[in-house]
Amino acid sequence: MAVDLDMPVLVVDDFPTMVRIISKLLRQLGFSNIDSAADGSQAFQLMGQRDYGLVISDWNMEPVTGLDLVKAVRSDEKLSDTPFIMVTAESKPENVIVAKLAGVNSYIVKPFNADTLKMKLSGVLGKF
Amino acid sequence: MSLIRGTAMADSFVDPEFESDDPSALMPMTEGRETGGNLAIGLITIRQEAIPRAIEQLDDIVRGTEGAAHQVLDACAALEALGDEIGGEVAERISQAVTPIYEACCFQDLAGQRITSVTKTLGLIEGKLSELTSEFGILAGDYQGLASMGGGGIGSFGDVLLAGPQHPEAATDQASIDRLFGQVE
Repeated sequence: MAVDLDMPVLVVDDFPTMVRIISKLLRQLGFSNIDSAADGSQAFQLMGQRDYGLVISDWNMEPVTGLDLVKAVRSDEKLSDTPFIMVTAESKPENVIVAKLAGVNSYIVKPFNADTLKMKLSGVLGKF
Repeated sequence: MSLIRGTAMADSFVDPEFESDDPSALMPMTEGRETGGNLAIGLITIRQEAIPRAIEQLDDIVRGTEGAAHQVLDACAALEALGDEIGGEVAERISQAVTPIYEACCFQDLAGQRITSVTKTLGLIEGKLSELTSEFGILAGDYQGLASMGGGGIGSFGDVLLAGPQHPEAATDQASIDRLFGQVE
């Protein structure tokens, strides 16, 4: 099944620069419906209002981290199936393991490029 | 105020049982007072002036790089808009050309995280200096320190896993992360 490029995508990062970068790369890949949040709390609130087809989140944010967010999402009956990609500077093996066990579908370490993002998106959503 | 208290701290080095007819025997104690006083002044200067100044400068760097990154991204967006006006293959080529610039602007996030980590460490040092000076009775002011400015110190996120970007030579690359990610059940 083809990826729905019109589906809402939520980008979560406390650095506005990163939100702009990820949003730009997503638009370049064809996604047109992109929202953003500055931390896990704001993201979770938005997820309660809109049916997102994908969440791309940083880990290191205050007050609610990306790890807290994915745990909350996976624990929520309505949101638990939402594809979730962690994009973070945290690259230690223990971080990767904890994130995977918490339920992230893919893990991208910063800095990254457009090709890596596309490859991970394909892995989670299917080829497009 | 600080000087007097610093001297008071040095007074605690005086042994009340000490007796001697030789006045020179007291010399080490006098030197101890001076050393203690100088140390006290040094600690207070570091705590109240040097560390806040360093944190302020680091905050300026974060703000400055963020502003610069946004300017770069604005310029890229303007180029892309121009490409859209022209349309066709040129628009596509411009979009492809600016993509590495967007990717490179990740530096601001990574630099910001590193600087935030350093700021928190400075906040921790300030806190320890505060404890040290209080322990010695040097300073009893109402200076609350930089813990509040620095977000409460390392670990304030309540997540001990967060270490920020690793040194490039020690960092795990994406391919290794992919392998590990695939192995976790």
